[in-house]
Amino acid sequence: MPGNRQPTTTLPTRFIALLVCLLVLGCGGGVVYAWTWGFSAFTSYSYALNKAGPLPRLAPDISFVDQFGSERQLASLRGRHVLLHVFYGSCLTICPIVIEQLRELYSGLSAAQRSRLAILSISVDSLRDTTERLHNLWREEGAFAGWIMAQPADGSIDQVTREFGIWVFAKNDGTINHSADLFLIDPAGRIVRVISPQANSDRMRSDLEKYL
Amino acid sequence: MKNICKLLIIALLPALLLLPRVDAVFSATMPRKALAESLLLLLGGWAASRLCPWRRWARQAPAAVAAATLLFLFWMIPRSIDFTQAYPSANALFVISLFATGLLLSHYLPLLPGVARVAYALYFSSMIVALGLLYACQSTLLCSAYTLEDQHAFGWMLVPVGLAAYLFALVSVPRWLVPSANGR
Repeated sequence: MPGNRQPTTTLPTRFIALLVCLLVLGCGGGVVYAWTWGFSAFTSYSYALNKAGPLPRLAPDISFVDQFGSERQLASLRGRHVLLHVFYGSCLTICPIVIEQLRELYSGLSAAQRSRLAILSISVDSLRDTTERLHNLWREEGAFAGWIMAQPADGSIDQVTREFGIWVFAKNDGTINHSADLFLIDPAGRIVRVISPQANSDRMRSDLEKYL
Repeated sequence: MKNICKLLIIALLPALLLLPRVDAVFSATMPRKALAESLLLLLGGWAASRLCPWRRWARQAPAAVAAATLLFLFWMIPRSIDFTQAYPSANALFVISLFATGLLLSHYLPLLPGVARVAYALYFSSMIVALGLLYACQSTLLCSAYTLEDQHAFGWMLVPVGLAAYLFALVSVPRWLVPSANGR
């Protein structure tokens, strides 16, 4: 083959070739290891979740503005379980499904159980999900006293996404892709469980009843 | 001179794919981004290698093939695909590295011993089929930049590509295993 350097069979050449191969495999494997959080998170969702830390852990004390326009802290809900998730009102895919599941779940709980559980739905779309719009949505979903629909107090969802481990990605077409996980926070303010949105509302209820 | 011109034209492929308008077309759906664009870049790199007169270091062939495989695998990770949509610099890296993957594979795969080439080709194509099935059958969204329908479509398109590569590898087994005239 013209232009090819003829391979030699000397030991140092073979050793160097082996070393280069091992170096490539080691470096490449290392990059993939770091990129996937130790081969445990291959999606953006799972990476964000793993990066936020293991459970149980203390939930950050985030500030939010609820559907009545009042600024509140997550700590104000201490003493009850809180089911926190993010959504946005213009979503046409996963958010309506999760909201519907939550409505079914909450309406199926007894009054005593409801008094021990608050749902905190935080919008990732502060521009479109105004207080008025959140209030309307809250009314449409049954106007439950323990269901808070809010937007971050400073308009930025960054602290919530970073500290809870939620991946959010706003696309150019106005849609916002985000993790749909539900974070269960216990009365002491610790995140104790991350519930996958795949589970139907019956399964979600049976999961939650263990805690309530 | 003619080859150099062809080489320059092929080398323009990555630059062309990075143009915002062209990128928008490929980024619109997952099959276009992760399959059509990837295949185009691999083939572009492969073609560029056929035309380039660079020297080959036969002893480094396993390292080069390993590097190419790792590069390809990296860009098949859902999180990596998401990053190509979120950051233009990641997209540029995607384009350049897949072009380089095609170039490296074309350049160094023929230098591996026949048995190693057969094993690699069968393994690599099986991996593509498995990856396709994973994307096709997963009921949760893996890439946040695309929809679940896109993900399933991509998976089902990747499966026949992998099967075709597997069949090609099988058909090539006798040819690869017969020692060539120069004793390789």
